[in-house]
Amino acid sequence: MVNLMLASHLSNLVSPEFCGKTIAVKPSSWPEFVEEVRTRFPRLANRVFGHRYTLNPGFALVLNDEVIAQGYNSLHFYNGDEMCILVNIAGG
Amino acid sequence: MSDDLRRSDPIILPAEVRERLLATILQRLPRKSFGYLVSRSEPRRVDDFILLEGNIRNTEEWKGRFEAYGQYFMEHDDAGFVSTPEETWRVQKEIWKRGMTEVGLFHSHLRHPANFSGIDYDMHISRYPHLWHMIISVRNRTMPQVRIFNISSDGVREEKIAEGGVTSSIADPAEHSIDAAIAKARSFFALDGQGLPCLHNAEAIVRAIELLRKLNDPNIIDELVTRGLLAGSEKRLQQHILPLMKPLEGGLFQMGTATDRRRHFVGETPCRTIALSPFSITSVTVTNALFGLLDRRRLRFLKEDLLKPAVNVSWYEATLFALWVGCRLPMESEWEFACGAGSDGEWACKEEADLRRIAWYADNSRGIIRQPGQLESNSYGLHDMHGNVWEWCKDTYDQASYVQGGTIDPVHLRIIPTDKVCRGGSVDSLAEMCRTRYRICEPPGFFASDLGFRLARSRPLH
Repeated sequence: MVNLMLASHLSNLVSPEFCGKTIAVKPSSWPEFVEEVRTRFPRLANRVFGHRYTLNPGFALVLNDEVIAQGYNSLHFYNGDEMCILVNIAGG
Repeated sequence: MSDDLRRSDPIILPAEVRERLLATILQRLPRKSFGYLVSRSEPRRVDDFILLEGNIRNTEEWKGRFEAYGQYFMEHDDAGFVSTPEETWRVQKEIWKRGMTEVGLFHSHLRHPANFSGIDYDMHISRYPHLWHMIISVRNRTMPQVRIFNISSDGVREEKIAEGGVTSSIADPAEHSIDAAIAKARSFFALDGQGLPCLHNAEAIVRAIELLRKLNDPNIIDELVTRGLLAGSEKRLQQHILPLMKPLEGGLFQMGTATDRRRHFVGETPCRTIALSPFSITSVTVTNALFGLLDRRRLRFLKEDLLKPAVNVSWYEATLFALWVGCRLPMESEWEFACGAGSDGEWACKEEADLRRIAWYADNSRGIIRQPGQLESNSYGLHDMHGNVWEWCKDTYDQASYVQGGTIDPVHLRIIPTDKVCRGGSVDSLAEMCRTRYRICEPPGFFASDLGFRLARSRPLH
């Protein structure tokens, strides 16, 4: 099991009732993770993921307290991993 | 509580948090400030803010995205911000550790008013539509302006802000007494040997005039205002103003923006058919030389500045000057009619590419305010309605006024200390802010280096 942590402004996209910050997911790779989120939480997936298995611009992945800037496509996940999807704040 | 009811509640921004935030932003100038607004429990209450320091806006990954929004973002590499993932993560952990929730974002505008722009909308709606967004304008560093916007795919709405304590009354108890109001007016309206007000406080004078008008006593108005404070206004009108005025016939026109075209623009909808009476409006904004008739300090300006628009003028000062020369500020409806000059497009010109022929704005001004009338006029013979300097209107601002307001010579006037409408954009404005229908507002005592005014006058029906 991988624990996916979400900031409150993203957790709103999981479901209106969801008020925690951690969701258990069970992928072993990044593509599996994307597919699982697309199936279980389509609104979150639409916001976060771009074409195929990419993150939209401005979003970043954190795995076990480390920001993963590149190469997340080839990541493998293990039981107990902690993952977070972040949004860089941006404006004009 | 339903969402709709919640939305009518103001967002609570305690004075202590507000003052601390403004002090932080001012202390960091000329750097842009941005960050999270966080709350312990209430989604419409700010308990603290968290500033982010790192800005990757000018990295290879982001620079081009900002510059795609136009010349302004090429000339000003401090316009725009993107937080670093590392700092965003550190701050996110801090928010969780403190048991708080992010409820909004904030960022400062160094040159622009506290408006919500297209780039703000694009970047917000694609990332965090559940948060609201505070903009703090420091274009006048002595009077920072704070506004909060609620953003959704249905558009952008400005939120009310409250401090969360007891709201103090703006009424002066002495103003309830007729005798006190008249006595105050007599002292405020005293003139010197040149016929100029002795009191250099336009706010006090304009508020005293408003009080006298509420008394509705024609004899008092005639004595203290018409033959007192404003004595000689007809002569000044004939001599200095009428040569600058263009008569417009008014009639029916479409004011505002259709709901399906509202995008991120606030308070422009719905589009309504407005009936306007004939009026006249000056073809150019008031210059320092003209304003110097009333405020002699302006006449000390360098010669080239004398012929530039009078800026750093509050709504009170603009209103007083307009009255003193036998005019008034344009009503917002008149201003929009005059600016659009019959065009149903976004500007008086057909395409955005033509805007540089009639407007000094961010794409062609290099931030320099020019003498009025240097570029082509619109088809009504009016210059610089788009760009150069923002212009005060007579109306009190209400983002719902198009929904609730009248449609015959509409003018929205409420108690004086509420925000007043500004229109047209300035040399620092993006093309979107110079649009005919674009509305912003500022408090009546506010002034800025790119905010001026022009004059209008009603005309009798033929």
